[in-house]
Amino acid sequence: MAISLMSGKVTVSATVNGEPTEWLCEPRETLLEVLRDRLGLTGTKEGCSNGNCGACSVLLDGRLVNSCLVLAVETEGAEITTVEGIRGEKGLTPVQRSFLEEAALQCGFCTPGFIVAATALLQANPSPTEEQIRWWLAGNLCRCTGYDKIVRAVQKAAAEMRGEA
Amino acid sequence: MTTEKQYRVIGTRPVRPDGVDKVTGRAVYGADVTLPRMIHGKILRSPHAHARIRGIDTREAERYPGVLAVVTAEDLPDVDVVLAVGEGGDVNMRDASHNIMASGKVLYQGHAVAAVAAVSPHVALEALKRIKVDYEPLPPVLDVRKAMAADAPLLHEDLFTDTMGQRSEHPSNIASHLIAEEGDIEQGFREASVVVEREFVTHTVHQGYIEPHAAVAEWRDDGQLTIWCSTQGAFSVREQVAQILKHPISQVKVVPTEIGGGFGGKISVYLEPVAALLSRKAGRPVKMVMDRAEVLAATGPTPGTYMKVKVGADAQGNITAAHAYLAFEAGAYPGSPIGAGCTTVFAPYRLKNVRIDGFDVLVNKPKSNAYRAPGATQAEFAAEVVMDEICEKLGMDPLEFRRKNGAKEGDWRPFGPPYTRIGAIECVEAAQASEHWKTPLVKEAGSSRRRGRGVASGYWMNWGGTSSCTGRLNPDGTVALLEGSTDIGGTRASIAMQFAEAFGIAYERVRPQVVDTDTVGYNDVTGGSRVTFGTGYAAYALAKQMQREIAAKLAAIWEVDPESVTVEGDRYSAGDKSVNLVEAANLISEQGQQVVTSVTTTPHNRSGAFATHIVDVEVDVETGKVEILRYTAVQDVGKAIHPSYVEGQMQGGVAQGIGWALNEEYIYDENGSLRNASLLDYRMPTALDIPMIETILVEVFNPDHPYGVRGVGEVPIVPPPAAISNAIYDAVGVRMTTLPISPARLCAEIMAKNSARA
Amino acid sequence: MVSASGSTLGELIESLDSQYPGLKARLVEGERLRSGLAVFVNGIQIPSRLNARIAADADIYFSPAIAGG
Repeated sequence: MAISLMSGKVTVSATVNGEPTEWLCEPRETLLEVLRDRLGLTGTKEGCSNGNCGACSVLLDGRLVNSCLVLAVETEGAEITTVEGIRGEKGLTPVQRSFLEEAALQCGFCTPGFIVAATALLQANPSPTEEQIRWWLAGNLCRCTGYDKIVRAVQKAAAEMRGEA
Repeated sequence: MTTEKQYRVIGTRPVRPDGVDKVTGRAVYGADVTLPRMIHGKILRSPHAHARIRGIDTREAERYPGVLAVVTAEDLPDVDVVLAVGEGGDVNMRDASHNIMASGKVLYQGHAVAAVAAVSPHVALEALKRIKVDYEPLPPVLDVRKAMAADAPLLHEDLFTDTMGQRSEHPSNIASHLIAEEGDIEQGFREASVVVEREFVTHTVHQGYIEPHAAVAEWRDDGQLTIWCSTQGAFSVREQVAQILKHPISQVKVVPTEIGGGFGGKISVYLEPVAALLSRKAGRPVKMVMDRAEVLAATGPTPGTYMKVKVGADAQGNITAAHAYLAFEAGAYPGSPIGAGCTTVFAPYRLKNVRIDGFDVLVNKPKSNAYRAPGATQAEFAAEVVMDEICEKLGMDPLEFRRKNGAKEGDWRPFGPPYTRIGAIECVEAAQASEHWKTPLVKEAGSSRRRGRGVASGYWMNWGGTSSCTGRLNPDGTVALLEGSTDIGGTRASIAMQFAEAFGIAYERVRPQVVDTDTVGYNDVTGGSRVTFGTGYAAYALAKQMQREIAAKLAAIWEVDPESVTVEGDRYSAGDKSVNLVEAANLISEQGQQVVTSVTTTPHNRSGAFATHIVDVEVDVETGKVEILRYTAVQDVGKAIHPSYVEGQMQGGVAQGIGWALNEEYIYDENGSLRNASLLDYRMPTALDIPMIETILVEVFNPDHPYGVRGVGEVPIVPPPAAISNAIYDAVGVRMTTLPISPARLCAEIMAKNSARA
Repeated sequence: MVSASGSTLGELIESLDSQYPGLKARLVEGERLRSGLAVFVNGIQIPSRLNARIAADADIYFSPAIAGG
């Protein structure tokens, strides 16, 4: 991390979706702002900017975080995965595919956050119960679906990833 | 009852055309638009709920480094037109103009007073702090009943009450008083053997779409204005912006982005005209994005209410009379959904003696706006809780009561012609036959927990509206389908499916796109549950028109009478000649011709959608916390084009209704300052708060649509608050008449009941 | 439910006004129907214009225009 005395901006290096990435930002900028406005990764959404809606969910060194609550300068040397970095060998991952097949999205705005959060869940727990899925996803707000089809999509993806479907 | 027709496409569950972009983060929403040289706008908002603006000094902000433009209400022209916005709702554009930028007075906390465009959002926010506004605070009025009092502080000195076309003598905060009457309620109440009358209070709630409002405007030097925004209606934005800015509509182009939820709240413009003015001044494209606090404090939530409902029934359980008094908070300008509240309050019932009084009342809160079945959830909450109490007093099964008194074709309804073919009674019967209803509930659940079951019905009317579609036959026999209805929940799929069905091709061979206002004919907003009905109707008409054009072109090539060309699926034949669609497309294009067809349709839709819901709750009598154990939503959907998306609409509506019932409310202090303008304190349901939501789709064919479609999106939000209140009564014996039924409110009622008994 | 005659909406309102003096003032503002008023003919909403043609024996409803979300 290097601080430019001229602009007050900071140089930050991190790995974003597997690619070594370097950017210049002000110390007050959040990771969400940098992802969206400096790196063009607009799949990560801003819904509230204070950690309540989960639309900005990303993985930071494998951990699920709200990128609106992380300062970009804190991510020096970190590994960041956004929705754009979630890809299967043949395109969509089972989570993405089951969201489509189970109609688990309506407006789609919260969807990137749910895809990231559900992906993290199934990495941590390949066989979650309905209650565990609901608990894990309680940090992501969806106003369209009533969550029913989201929970079913995660259950279906989990079964597929366990080789049951 | 249901249609016997076999469909190829309708009733299947294909993946939506925009789906892959939405699960990979590629879809572009309002705030994702970036243009070269783009700068950022922010709005200064009033800290006062009611104040006179003595002056605004923007000089220091204008000099602040990085600032390119500052605007206030002085930059807006005077306008005085009434524009139909949305579903037949009329909006005075002078009010709309004053709402987006306060003129003379601020009328609610969060009311915009000035805007700045700067090189970054941070710089714009810094500059806002340097604008000096000289306010003379005035007493605010925040409660609908206080605002109706003769001595209440007036929001507008020039507003008079309109009582069915008659103007009041003195100015008032009551903008209008609607009256609907049929029969003789005095006589009806005399015939009743039970009469129940109760008062109800509900608080302001927000649509709660996860995407904040966002707009980018580029005003070019030749006067051409292009706006990219997240909206329920690009054509409505074009019209509103043109009126507010007095700019020719031909010079305004609106490009709708993907939309992250709307529920009625993204029809009115807030940012678009301001971004346009800033762009004109700065000579650069301007992006404006609201933060969550602005969304909650300064867009268009749905009204708080005071309501009184009185119903009488005879000993056999026939309703003899019903009276509703509904007072809705319009907010800072007239225009609450009081008309819809009056229309829907008793809609599921056949009534002979009825009177409904509705009041549209101004208070110092943001101008209210549509929210999913606007006005119906509040009004039917009141009516359905009273109906439950009537059943209790009569010792009658609440579903049997609803079946016995259910409205059907030909029955009277307020403010409209009699019902056409509707499915109110069919919904009640399907609820009676459901697994949920037939499974007894075990009421005891540990020492401090009680369980209860409740039901409620609901109604929302349908609307047709105007829709246009353009179809282009590609050389490979596929069709590019251009639409102007923004797709909020999968309507690209439901429209393409109807087109594919009518055109005789596979769903995958239709590629629908939502395009800008210069590229397709006029479309009314995506609202009023109308798109799968209305734009689906246009797509059906387009398919039939394209078939006729293809037949006519083939007739010319084959030198036969156009009437002799028959169409069967995707095959066109005349005499011994017969081609499929791909061959037809090639033949036509060999002649140097193309099939590019546009239609505009405005179908009438006289029907409506009914729903009956069943809910089981568990109440913790010590904390007042309510848990939803089981939920079943039954709804007449006409015909489910894409059943998964219909179920999704029902489940989503129920979840919003549960939030409204139990948690959501605007909390103001006595000065009119909103105390919970964040999603931490404005508590919407999470995945952990609700169970799976069972859906039962009843299909009563709608004669106004070729496939029998009814609008399905809105009615599922209507029954939940009443059903939950009724279930809580069943569990713990207290009638909850205030929304939301928060733990504190419920606990207080339980304690009051216990101390009364002690 | 009342009966009135006229071949256009405007004539119909004139006829109603002669039966119920003052009614016209409640429905019409200047040369136009009041804003916020919807008109249904035989169950179907028509454009709210005074020169709209009305067929014989039609059922007419005047109603406040309803806004939806």
